[in-house]
Amino acid sequence: MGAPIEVYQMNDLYNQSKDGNKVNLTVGAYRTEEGKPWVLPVVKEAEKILIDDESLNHEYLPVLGLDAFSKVATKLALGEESSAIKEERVIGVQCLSGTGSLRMGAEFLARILKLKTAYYSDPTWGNHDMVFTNAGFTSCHSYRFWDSVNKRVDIEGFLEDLESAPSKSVIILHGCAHNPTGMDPTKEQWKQICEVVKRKNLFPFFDMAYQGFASGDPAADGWAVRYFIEQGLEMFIAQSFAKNFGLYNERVGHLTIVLNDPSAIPSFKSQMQLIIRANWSNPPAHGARIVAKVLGDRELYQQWLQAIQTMSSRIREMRAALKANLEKLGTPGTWDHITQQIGMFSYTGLTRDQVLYLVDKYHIFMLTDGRANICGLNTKNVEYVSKAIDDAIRNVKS
Amino acid sequence: MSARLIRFIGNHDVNAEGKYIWEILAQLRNFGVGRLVTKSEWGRKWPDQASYLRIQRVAPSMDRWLFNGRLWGEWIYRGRNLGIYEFAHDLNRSDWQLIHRHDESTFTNCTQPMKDIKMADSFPLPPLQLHMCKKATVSRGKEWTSDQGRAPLSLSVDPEFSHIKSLIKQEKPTGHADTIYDEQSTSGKMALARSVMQTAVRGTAWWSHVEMGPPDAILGVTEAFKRDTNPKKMNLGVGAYRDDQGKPFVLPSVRTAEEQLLAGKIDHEYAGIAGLADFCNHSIKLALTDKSSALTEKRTATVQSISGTGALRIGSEFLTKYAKTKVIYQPTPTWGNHVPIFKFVGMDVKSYRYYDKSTCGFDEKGALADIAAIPKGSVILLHACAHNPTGVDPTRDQWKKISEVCKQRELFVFFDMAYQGFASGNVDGDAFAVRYFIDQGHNIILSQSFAKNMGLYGQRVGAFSVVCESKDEADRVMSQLKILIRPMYSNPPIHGARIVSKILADPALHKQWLADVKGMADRIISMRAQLRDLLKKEGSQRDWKHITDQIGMFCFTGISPDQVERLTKDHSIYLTKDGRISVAGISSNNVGYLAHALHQVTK
Repeated sequence: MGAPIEVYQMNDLYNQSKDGNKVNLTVGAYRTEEGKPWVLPVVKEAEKILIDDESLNHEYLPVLGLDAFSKVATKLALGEESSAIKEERVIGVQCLSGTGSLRMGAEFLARILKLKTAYYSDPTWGNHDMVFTNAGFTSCHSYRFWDSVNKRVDIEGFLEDLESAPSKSVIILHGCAHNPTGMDPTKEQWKQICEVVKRKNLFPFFDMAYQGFASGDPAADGWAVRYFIEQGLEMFIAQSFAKNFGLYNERVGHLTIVLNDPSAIPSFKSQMQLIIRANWSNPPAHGARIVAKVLGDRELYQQWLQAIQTMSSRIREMRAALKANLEKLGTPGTWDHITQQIGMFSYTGLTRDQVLYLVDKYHIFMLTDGRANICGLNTKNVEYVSKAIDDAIRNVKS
Repeated sequence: MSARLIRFIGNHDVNAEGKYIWEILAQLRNFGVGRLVTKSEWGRKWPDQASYLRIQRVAPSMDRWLFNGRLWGEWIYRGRNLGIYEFAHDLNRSDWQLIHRHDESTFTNCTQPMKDIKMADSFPLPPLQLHMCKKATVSRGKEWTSDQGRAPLSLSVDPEFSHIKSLIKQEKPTGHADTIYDEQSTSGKMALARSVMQTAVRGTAWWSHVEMGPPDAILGVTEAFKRDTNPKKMNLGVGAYRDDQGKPFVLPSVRTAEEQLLAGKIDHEYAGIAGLADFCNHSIKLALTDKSSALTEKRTATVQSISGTGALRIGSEFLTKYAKTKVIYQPTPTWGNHVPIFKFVGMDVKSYRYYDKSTCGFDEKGALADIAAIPKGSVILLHACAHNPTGVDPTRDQWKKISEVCKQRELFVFFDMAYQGFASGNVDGDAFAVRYFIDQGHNIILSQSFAKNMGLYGQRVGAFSVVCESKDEADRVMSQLKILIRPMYSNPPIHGARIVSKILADPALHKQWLADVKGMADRIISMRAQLRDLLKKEGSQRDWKHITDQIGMFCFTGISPDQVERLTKDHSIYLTKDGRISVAGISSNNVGYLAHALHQVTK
């Protein structure tokens, strides 16, 4: 029997629980103030437009995906003014959401470029290791990232680990809203990271699953990626439109490749096509059409900006509320990190035992490493959750 | 800081963005003494560090084009004041700009001026010399200390940098290493050329060994077809159904289902790794019927997949982990992508005979003989119906024989069913082989696709199933499948699966769909019949029986590569070199043209 995957298992436990006060802080999906999933109004509108469009059918997309989608996805990641786009040295590949983009990128790096070593942050998204391992990376390590004592980015450890990484290692970087800690490096720290990556000849692979969703501003969220490109680095960027468009189950993702020499593009594309043919032949059309429609239309784009601002600001409010509640209760410890962190998740600092205590006694479900999905909080349950956390911290030995 | 206006007065210096210095100074009071000028080149190279000249004294030559003269100015270079310099040679580049008085304070404000260039004042002796010195010292009875291993370093500064000689300082090095190069840091020195390396070295190590992959044969056919200007051209390479007008066809049942879905309450939440449960249940029920022991005994694990390719891909990963032998036997010929999918995971791909060229039919003898020779415990791939690319399917009796041999050889049977309903128009008839094998006790693995039979090509709807010994085994297999899928794409796209699920669940839609798919199959069957008839009418003496014996989207015509070339060159009919035509590309208004052309190249 295969080991269950924790996030799905915790989510199942939540679903099975009959407790009236249960709270789901597990799976990374946005919830409204009422605790419901949210279909963005602009997405609904786009879907209506699509179904009324007589010219649309269900024919196969090209192997590398919908070109119109690729163009808007690349522009979103790199910015319209990007020199990389202007100099036509970008390749776009539509993939199955963030996971698919990471996997296809990893397959290319392992099979075609024969790279075998990858580094991801400690901690990182639970699936990074398996994606790269299954793609053929034989040597996967972590670089220090989370300073659990001071609840900040361990930049010294981060840079040291990068310094000691062998040349041509692939470094997986979270573009914004680090999963699971929520802590992003500052701009200064990004500059330092970039300098080491450049000097040590490491390959940057950005995992950008929350662009726009983190701060409400796509340009701000894409700052690190764009800075690296300005510095002349070549890279892969795995983008997901699951969170920032709420299109979780349509599997809309994009792999953006930035190279310095455009003459490499035809060979690159031909090899990538072979990899994709052996995996899914061509990507699903529906979600990509929605995103292409929204990002390609001025009006709809504005509506989308409002939607991501709605989502990101509700999360910020909940962070502030949680912190305020914990401080009011006088819960031992410092809680600044909750509002310093960004995006969907917060590394609360709770230990495994404390989390299981919350699960058993309060039916508050989160991951055992202390990761909580802030979207699961709302004005009705934030006090309950705060009291529970307070209880766990005071009474459960860490 | 670059000028928007580039004055071109016959100077081919294309990197210059500005004016000649005398052009500027001659227009100013007192020839601009006291004013600030800068070279655009400095601004481009070091945008964050102000470089400019404060004019002290001028001696223009007053020549016709204001090229020549001398001037003296205080030179602030990258935020550092170098003192007063004479400029006489650099003035005939139209790269100079005047800094307006109101801009002076912002322009000259430099928060991070250039730092001194630090060089070591000594360098380590090279290894052999070091060794010899040590040896000599020790042999003379003297003590060897590490500073004896270093020699004084004298610098030679290139004339290009003579103006910053005063900023180059030598000091005791902080770290020691084996060579001077390892001791020096590059900080500050790289910036002497410019602050940012504008372009990385061409042909960087990353992409230099990426070779061009082999061209896609089918894509090549389509591209050539698009370029052809003959109004009668036909594309018989396409692997998608076309209606009688040659247009893509959205099934009425699909359209209705989509409209109903949109009108209802839907969300876009994650579907779970195995996809939509309803879809999986309906899908496997369609394949096996709910009376199958595989379903009544709940011993089948089904997951939603990315159409047929995705199902085969999951299957290949699953087999590579759990099959006894990592070899799969595929029919000759088979779908072009079957081989790469299994080779992708490192499985060995072998083949068994299938198609008989002489009869354009099933090579029963060859197939059974080859299958009987397959090592026990291997995996065998079978096309459930409408074999791609030949269109040749075994008869029911032949399927029974195949099942027997597979049982004898204890083969692990992998069915690829991409055309259920689409082949004959009857979903049960098309699933005969799959159901028979299960009844005979084979625990098969099955790949299903809804691309063709529901026309949902681009929505990527498929299912992958493993028939197991028991419910317990099925649960275990399911858990392992999830572990394989999560690092591939986490969970599948929902849209197409919702459509399929709605259609199969709703009696009215289900009935409508059966009619739709029969309609497609019937049109294909009728095209086959018409083609065969018209060939006879053309006077062809060849036996074209296989056109109507074969089934499904494709037809192996049996013509040679030469004849294929003539069909393309002379008649603008595009098909693959193996003589395969897509019957879906034939319609009532071009079947006659095709028959005529085929007869011309084969008579």
